[in-house]
Amino acid sequence: MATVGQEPIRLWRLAGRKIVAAINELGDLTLFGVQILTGLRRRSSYNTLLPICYDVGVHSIPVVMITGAFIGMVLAVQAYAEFAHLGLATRLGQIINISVVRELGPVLAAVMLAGRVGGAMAAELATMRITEQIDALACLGTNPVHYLGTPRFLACMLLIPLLTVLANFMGVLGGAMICIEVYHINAHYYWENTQGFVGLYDLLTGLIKPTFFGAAIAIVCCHRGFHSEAGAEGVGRAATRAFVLSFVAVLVIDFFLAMFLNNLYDYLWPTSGHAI
Amino acid sequence: MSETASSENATPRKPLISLTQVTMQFGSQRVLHAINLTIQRGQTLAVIGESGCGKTVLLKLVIGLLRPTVGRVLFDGQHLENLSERELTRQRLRFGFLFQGAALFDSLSVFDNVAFGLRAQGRAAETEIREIVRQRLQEVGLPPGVVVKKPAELSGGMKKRVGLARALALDPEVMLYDEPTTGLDPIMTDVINELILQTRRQRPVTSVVVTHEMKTVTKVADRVVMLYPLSRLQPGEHQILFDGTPEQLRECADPRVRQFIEGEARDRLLELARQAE
Repeated sequence: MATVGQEPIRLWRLAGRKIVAAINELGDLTLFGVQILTGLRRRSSYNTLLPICYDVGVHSIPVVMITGAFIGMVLAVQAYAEFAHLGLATRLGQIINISVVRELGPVLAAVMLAGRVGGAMAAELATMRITEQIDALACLGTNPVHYLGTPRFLACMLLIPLLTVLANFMGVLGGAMICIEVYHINAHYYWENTQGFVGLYDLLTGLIKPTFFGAAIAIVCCHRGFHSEAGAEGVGRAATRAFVLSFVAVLVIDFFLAMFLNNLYDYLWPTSGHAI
Repeated sequence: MSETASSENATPRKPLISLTQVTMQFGSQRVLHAINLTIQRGQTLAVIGESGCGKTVLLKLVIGLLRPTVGRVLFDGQHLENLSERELTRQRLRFGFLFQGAALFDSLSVFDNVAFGLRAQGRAAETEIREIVRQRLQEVGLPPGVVVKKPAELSGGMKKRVGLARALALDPEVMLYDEPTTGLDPIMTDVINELILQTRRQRPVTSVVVTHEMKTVTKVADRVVMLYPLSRLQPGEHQILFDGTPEQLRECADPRVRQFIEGEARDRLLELARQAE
């Protein structure tokens, strides 16, 4: 029978086991990512690239457009009252568009795609795992990670930035539509102030981030699919965990990239004072 | 006490496949313990045993899809666990594996499934591949019109036959069958048994057949090994309860072997009821 003093020890042991398991999983994920990257040298990794690009890219267009449009529209609705109160309504474009292009567009589009694309990838690969199709690939002399993981990695890395551009475009349009048509802000000053505030570096930031997000979503979701547990429950759990882990990965990567890119900007153009 | 009867016609040839003190554990669950097994070239070995005793795990160890927790697996003198992924892939091409559910690739047609290994190896031109696929499908009794179908459109028996055609497409030296007749009707079961025999007659293959079906064992195997679940063994007992010919299996006096081959529940129902309480 456990004594009172043994209970904290048991909890520490449990915490220790959880930490070790998390570190193990991170290590396994890293090795899986390296395997995916080594597949870039193989011709067989490109056989299925086009159909996967079609599925990741073309089928995501409607949902990305809707996401982008509503981000811009909601920002406009939420920010208008404060800006109008201060007599700065014509400056609304600056805030909406810089937020959409630098942060909200890339992050929310990535989160949407983590759910749509990542979840589907994880479920498909998990189903292949439990029906032994991945083992069958190995028995037919094909590296399953190179054949299944590498084209998905490439598709996400190439297309998620392009989808983010689309989301940003729709966000800018959505915000402008609400500001100009609903709140009757002067269009000339709306766009003039935007142009003066949103620069090339902001647009580049909005392209660099999604590249990393796409890579993370692909690696995490493929890894979860490959390591699915048996049965329908295992497939469901793989898809759920794939989304949650890639969502967390997107947030963490976004934070570090934001810091890095801001500091890089201040290094290249020292007068701005953004560095932390 | 376990009863093991070795084949009286044992030859001193070097075995093609050899498992030495192989133990396989998944987390805290041990499935195989200290397995010693050799398979000679040209043999057709049936591996029988209750569900969960490790038969499929044994097959996957033989082809290197799993690495043993302890012990060695040798294939043609090579330690599989020491090979690089590239070398292991090369050795795996000498095997054909018919999976329990056929494991056909859902998004590919029957033709693309059977041609997959040939295309992946880049060994043959597309015209040659077409001819090989046609021949393999003909050997397993499938009509030419089936090539355009997707796996979801096939019956269980057709899937197994396509899986067999795919496994044979690369002319393997060793054929592994994981419960090839499970889920099939009695007629289709015998069709698969006949195809296994036909494969043996047409090619110099070594075969390992994991099966529950005693009819399959009697028809196709020249040697039988019976595995027993570790959880049911007494301390010091070996996991391989029987190793001999099908004729010796029929005469085996071990009550556990008799219970399996005669398919009788006996005390098992009571045990399961007690476990459920």
